[in-house]
Amino acid sequence: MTDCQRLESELWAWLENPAAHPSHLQFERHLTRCAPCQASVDGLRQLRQALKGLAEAPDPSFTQNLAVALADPHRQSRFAADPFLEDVPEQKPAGLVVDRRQRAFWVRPLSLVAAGAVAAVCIGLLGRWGTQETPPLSQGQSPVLDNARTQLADGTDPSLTDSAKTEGKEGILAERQWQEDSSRAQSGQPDSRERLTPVTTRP
Amino acid sequence: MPSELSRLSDEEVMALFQAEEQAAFDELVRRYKDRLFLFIVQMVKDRALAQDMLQETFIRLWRHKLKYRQIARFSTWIFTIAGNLVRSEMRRQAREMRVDLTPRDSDDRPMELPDPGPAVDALVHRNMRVEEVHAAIARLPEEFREALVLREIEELSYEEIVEITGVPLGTVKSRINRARARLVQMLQKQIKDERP
Repeated sequence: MTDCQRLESELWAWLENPAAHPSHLQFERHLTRCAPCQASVDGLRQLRQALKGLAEAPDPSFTQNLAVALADPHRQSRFAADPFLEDVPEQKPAGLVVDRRQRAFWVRPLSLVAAGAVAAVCIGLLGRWGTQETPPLSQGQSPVLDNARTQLADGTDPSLTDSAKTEGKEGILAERQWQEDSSRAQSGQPDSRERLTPVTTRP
Repeated sequence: MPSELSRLSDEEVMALFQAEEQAAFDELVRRYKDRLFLFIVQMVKDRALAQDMLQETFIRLWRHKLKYRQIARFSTWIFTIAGNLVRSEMRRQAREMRVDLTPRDSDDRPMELPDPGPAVDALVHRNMRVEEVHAAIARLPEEFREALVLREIEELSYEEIVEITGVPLGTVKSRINRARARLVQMLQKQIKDERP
């Protein structure tokens, strides 16, 4: 960037307060040598003077009209709806008007939230259903066998054939034998039916 | 009393007004009516509307005088009131322009240039033609125009402009710089003509 271009880009800032500008010495040195830049400075000085010289005055009757307006307690102002010293929000028509952009803005997050809520409820329900435990069976309790036992004892199940009843009785006997065996094994008592065979070790 | 008031600062006059001194209000009106009017008319480009808004600004000053605290400069406060009114009016005009879709002839358009008024006549002798400067300012975008007018015409500090416009300092500086660049661009011919 040449000195002229640099000067042009910062000219106004320099004109505001020449002595305070960080490059004011370079600027002044350049201006003494460069006639076009000096001409630009003169033109901008004129413009700044013109801006500062701009003046507008209200009508001479303004002060009188203001006094009349202040004295009128029922004065209605067209600006009365504007809040005082606050940024005025955009006025909206009465009722809820949702345009496409607003709908797109609201519907997307709302649908995401709704989908999330539904998913959470479903997961919660599944979790509860999955972890719902049946009451633990006490030792030796067998619902199927108990049921069969009851039916056999009562002879209430007409669907059972005689052979099935016989097999059921054998099953009960086998189960009872198994229970006895397991309790004996826990207490360390030898099985009367157990055939003790000597352990033979090879020399 | 008025001569005594004229020696006081704006903040001191405002304190007197808050103490129900009627003459202090008159003094504030005298000091600020032209400055505020220039600012408003540059923004809304309509003298009649600008006079209404100027009146509303002083009515708000009258009604809400107790809201002013001396933590801020009085000029910043009163320009903030006027600036809020201007922005509300610009929004209202923008809404109406959006609603009104009927084509307009160029002659029906709102007045682009404010009426120079009697005070401008005294400036005609200046080298740069005042009406061209007015026209160039009027062509700037609203936010650039507001920042430029407050800085270059009203000669307020950057910090005051931040308070009045409610935008950060960097944005204010950027707007002023861009407004200056555009103004120079628009008035390039006049600036060249001024060169010796």
